[in-house]
Amino acid sequence: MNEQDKVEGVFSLPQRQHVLGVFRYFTRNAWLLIRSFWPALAGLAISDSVRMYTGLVSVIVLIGLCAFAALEHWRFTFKIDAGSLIIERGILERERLVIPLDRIQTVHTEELFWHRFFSLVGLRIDTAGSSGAEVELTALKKDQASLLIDVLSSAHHEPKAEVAPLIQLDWEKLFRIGLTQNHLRNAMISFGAVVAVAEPLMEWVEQALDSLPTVWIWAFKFAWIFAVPLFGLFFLFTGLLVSLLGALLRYHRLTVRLTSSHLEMKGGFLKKFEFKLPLHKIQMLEGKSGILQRLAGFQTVKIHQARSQSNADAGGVNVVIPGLSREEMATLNSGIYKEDCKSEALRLRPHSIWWVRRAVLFIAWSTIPLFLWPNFLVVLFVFAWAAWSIYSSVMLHRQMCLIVMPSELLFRSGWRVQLSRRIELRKLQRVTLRANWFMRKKGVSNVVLLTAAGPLTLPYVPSFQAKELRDKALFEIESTQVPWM
Amino acid sequence: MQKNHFSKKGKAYLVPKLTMADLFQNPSSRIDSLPQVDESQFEPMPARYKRLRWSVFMAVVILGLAALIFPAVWFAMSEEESVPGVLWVVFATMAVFIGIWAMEELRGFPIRGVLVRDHDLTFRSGYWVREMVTVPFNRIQHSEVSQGPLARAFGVCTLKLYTAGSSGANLRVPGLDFARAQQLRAFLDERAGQS
Repeated sequence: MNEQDKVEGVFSLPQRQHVLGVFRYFTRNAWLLIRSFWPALAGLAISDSVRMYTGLVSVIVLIGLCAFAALEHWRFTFKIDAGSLIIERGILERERLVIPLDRIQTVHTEELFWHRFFSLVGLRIDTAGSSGAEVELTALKKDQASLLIDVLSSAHHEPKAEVAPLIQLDWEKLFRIGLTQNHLRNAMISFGAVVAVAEPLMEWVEQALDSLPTVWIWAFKFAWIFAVPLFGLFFLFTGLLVSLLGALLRYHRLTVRLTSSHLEMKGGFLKKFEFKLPLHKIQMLEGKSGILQRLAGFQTVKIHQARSQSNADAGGVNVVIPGLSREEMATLNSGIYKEDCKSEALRLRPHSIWWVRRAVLFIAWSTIPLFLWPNFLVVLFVFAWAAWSIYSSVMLHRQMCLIVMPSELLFRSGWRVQLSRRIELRKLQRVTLRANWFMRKKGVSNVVLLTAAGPLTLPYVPSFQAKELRDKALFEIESTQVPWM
Repeated sequence: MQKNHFSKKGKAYLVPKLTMADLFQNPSSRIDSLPQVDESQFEPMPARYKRLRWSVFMAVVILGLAALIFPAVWFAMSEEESVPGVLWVVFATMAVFIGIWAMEELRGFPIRGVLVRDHDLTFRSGYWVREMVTVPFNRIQHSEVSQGPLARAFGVCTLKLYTAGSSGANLRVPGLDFARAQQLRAFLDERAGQS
């Protein structure tokens, strides 16, 4: 009996997960319950006649969730038998899942905050054909998980040569990434959260103000104007703080390695993760850079898989790599895609009537306040808005471009926030040409190229070029023998 | 008979010794030389579907007009009140809506059609907004034929094709003859299975 057989023997009898897996089932089911019934829960919370039963209902729901989680944990067993991972699960409806080990493509590990106190780890097992994680083991002892990973990965016999990381975030880079996030959006979110929390406290604040001497109230009435800039500063500071905190939580010690077949990522602060993404599952590579990021000399990359796989609820993983320099981006591109976009590729651009139409539509909307409140300030606003609409439309039009390579496409768009999306033509799912009556008169069409990760639309392309692009895309899809996923 | 190939040392190989160029060829091809979707080849939709669409149109127009005419007549007959301006605006809006819809039916129906080629299916529709959707057979996840009560009365049905990447049907071909749709579906399943 060799070492591998011995290791497999460890899992030859049905095993349960660690008992604390019950807690994971409980939190997951509670979250699902809240998400599915939140409108009903909100309605019940404000109904006085129901609120008096809150305690009773909460206790019943809590007991139900605990019992369900315990049963779910009890009924879930796994073992390895005859070269397959065998899972048995389900409470009312029993399910037996047999996954041949050679079909297993990746095993993701996930270490939540509470996992670390008990030396536990969660596993997500992904197979070649699954549209997300096929199986999730919520809590295993680290040594047991390590043995299991060895067995599950044994079918591939991949050489484990150490590959230099594509990107490894240190504190300085993490700080720079935090600084270049969207602070305004983060500040708005945190402000909204503060308002939501503060709403029930308003009564208490009013009572506190009533108890203050009248002189203080008068002082507040005159001094509030000075609080405006202070509030603005506080608002921005909060946004910055939330951005830094968000970057720390998501990207702490992020390490990305690009091998010939996989993209490996690990990192995280409270929730640690480690996973391998097979390169052939990548449907679209999206680079994004805002003004701050361009000033710092890097961009964020989002790797799109088929939609169901990027859905975390379906067991998929969202892959975002921040802080990539131009050289690192080029390395990533050349690792995933084969063609050089600098070659003499065909470049398609929208017709100039696209920006005219956009500007006219924007200006038309802005004239509505002019009819409602016709005064000088509104006229000034409409003129300023019109100028901005024309300028932004022209800039967007200049940036938008589809580069058609022999078997790939690169779509560039955006002006302040620049986007680049790269796809392989053979991975497209369908092609649509769309043109309204006006566009047909002008001889232009919208081309919608649908990938499994979402659509890619190039507007107002000359119709003959749109048809050529469609024919080329169809030729690439239909002539390929390589699976798209 | 298989011709023997010899290496420099004189050893015979039954299989010809291949170079990389033999294994992988990637000749460049002009885009305009690729197979094109021939727009004159589209198969029109059956006349029964045309009747169904016009029936729906007429039903909506009659119901809509009836809903507006009754209050208008009531106001006109009352001695104290005249027909309010809002009602005229609604009348005008409805007239424009009916005109646009009628134009879609008159000019748009002949445009509707299906083109089935060796490797894909294209559906063309719309007068005001012309749309041509092509789904390659090797991307079809599954297909479905559905038929509501109205469609059943007119003997037509809807063929739905699903590909990856979105939740609903990615291509809906309404108004096909039921037998034709079943035949088409069997053909698509066969082709999707081959690819």
